[in-house]
Amino acid sequence: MPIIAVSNPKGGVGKSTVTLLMATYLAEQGASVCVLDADPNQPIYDWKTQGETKTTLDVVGGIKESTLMDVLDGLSHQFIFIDLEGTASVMVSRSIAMSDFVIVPLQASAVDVRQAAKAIRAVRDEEKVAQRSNPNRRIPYRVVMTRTPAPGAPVSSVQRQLEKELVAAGIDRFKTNLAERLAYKAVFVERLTLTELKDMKVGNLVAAKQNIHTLVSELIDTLQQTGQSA
Amino acid sequence: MSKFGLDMNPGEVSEPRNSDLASRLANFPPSAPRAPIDIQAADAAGESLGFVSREATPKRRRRVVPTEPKRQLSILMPVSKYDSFVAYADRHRLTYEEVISRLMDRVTD
Repeated sequence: MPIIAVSNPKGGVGKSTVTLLMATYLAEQGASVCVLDADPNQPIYDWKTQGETKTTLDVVGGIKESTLMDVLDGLSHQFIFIDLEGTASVMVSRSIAMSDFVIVPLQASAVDVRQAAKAIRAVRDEEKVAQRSNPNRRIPYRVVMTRTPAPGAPVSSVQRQLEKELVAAGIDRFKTNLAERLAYKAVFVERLTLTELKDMKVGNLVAAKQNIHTLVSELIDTLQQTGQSA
Repeated sequence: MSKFGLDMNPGEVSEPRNSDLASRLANFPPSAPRAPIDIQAADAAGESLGFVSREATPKRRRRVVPTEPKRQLSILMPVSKYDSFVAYADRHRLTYEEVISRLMDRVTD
């Protein structure tokens, strides 16, 4: 049921990586999942159509501002992700307005955080607009920190400071970070899911899957807490 | 596990247990069409934060020289209708005039 926009106007923060890893993992657990690839570079559409993955994940490419609403109306999946471009555009603001939940990926850098703040302000503004016609309408969001050191590796002082500032600013975030892992890069290079990479030597695949499992579990918890399930 | 924290394989992680997650997914029904949103208001809220259109407006060229005199028709319409009208024209590679002509051809009364 939920439409989940993955947004940060800054490019290269891991939007497509977060989207693809979460969507393929949910599909693997038996959920019906669709990704709308609204990035002009079409990374996920390319991943699905140019590779040999056997995933049940559906991907719709070539989304335009004018067709977004019609495409969403034609879908009947349990989970719909919108992978957005790394820029501030009407496509992004409309997607947020039509979503039930927004994931804002960011890395521990000042530029990423400033742009993420822009995405969060957009979520709040679109929520206010939607509440004019439906006072109960909510668009919850969560920040997810990406490309963090793997568990056990040293955490930078910049990341620690950012974590403190997110708390101080009252910005909601996933407790689970998405660590920097070779396996996540290999997913795009090989155009396979994490599970389909099992016979390749791509770092610690078990830990990579455990990370995604924890993140997806937290997403499901959050969606249930925010009333996005039956 | 060692009482002294002498875990010699700290990087080793077991495969995630998925049965609990898979059963919880059943609580999520398939999506269904929803009430349309106020596109104009949504765009206005985004525009104030710099979220503007990045799509090029397609330039249209008249394909044939008309033999019949023409009149100007200017229409104000809701943005959602406008968007679906333009999307239809783009999808079928038709001019706006051709779309309206198609519609008129279907009118029987």
